[in-house]
Amino acid sequence: MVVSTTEPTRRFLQTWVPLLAIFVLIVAEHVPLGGDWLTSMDIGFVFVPMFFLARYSEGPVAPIAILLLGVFKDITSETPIGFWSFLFCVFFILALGQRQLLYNAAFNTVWVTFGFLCFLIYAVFYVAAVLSLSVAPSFGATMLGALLTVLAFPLFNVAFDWLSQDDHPHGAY
Amino acid sequence: MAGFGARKGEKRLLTGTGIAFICALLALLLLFVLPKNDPLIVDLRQKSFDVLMPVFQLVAWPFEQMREAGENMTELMDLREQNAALLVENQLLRENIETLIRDSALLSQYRQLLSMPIETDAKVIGARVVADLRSPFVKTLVVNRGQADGVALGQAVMGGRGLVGRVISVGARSSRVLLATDLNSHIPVVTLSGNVRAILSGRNESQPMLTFLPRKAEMQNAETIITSGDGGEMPIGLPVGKLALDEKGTPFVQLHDDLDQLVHVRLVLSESVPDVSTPVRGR
Repeated sequence: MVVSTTEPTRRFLQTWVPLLAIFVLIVAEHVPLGGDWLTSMDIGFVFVPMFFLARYSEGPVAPIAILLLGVFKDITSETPIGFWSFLFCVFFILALGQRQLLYNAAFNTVWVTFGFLCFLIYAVFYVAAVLSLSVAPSFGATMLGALLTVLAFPLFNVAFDWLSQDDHPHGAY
Repeated sequence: MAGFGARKGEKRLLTGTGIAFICALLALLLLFVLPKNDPLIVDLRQKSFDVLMPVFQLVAWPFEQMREAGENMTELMDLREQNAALLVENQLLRENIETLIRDSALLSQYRQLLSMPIETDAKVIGARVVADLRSPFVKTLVVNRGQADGVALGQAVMGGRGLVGRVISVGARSSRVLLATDLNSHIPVVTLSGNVRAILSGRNESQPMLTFLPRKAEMQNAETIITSGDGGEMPIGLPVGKLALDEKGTPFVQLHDDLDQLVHVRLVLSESVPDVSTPVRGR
């Protein structure tokens, strides 16, 4: 589906739709669904819209909003304030670094890059949890969370794909 | 390198990556500077849940509808079997009623003989779980009852069949419940038949363990565990679960309720719970 939008509208949507998606996903994580296996790991679906945001958004809103959404996740998930915000910012910086590489890249390249960043940030998550929370989460469950996030990427990407059509972000951010 | 939204020939002091770096540093600063269990942070969390409760309910609505539809289908399919099981259960309960009436009469007579004060019945209110905050680090829930309903810190929270946790923070319209499986949960309990006192301690796993057991404690497998009421936060005798031993011989408690399936809970508004929110005034 190609959405005919003017440039400012497209820019607005490319920033605010992923941010709204991140907010909804943070809230949705806490919907009581039942199932202990769901709670034994952190599935980071929020990283998908964040990855999109890093690739396409412009302006200072995105990184600041990422920090604030991180604080919001810290509040709702009862982790120390700064834990998720730091991880979100690190992921955002890493994804920003891939902006030029992913310019006009094939879907598989984008997916592999996301997968690499995702496993990297989950490794940082594990280390940060051990250092700052003094609780060692299961390493297997952590990596399984990363794997599920990577596997879910194509599904979420479909939803965001229409926002980036005919859009060619250039160069450095 | 051109910065945020920089037009041709225009330079900005900070690039997007630069701002993101500053944000990351700020987050790191927050992580190491802010105290983890500061009352202000706890209050902020609770207030956030009060504000966010309608959002949680809105997001949960489609999931709840799907779950209810699934449950309705299953219930319809199992109606015959359920009816038969309920008839048997009803018969057993009828038989027990007579025994209970007799025991109750005897108990009140014994109390009178011993001049023991009769404990007032704790008031129980129902609540719905609006947010499940369980993660690898914490095991907490948010329920839709708060100060306005008489909820206070430390009150016991029951599932359909037994204790599941206690209230750790109270807002105007919502409360946070620390589940008995959380690492920070410690509840005084006692075995029903052996009268062995212990602490029910969470370990961030599916079942809590028993700690601070007496050295020569004699306990039987599948023994019933109830709250001891020590510390005065919880009433005596709330059912908790059954005693079991793991492969290493460590005693743990098989809770009566499945914590994964909690949709509704009951809050025990016992009067003995101290009101921490009210400051003590000096004379």
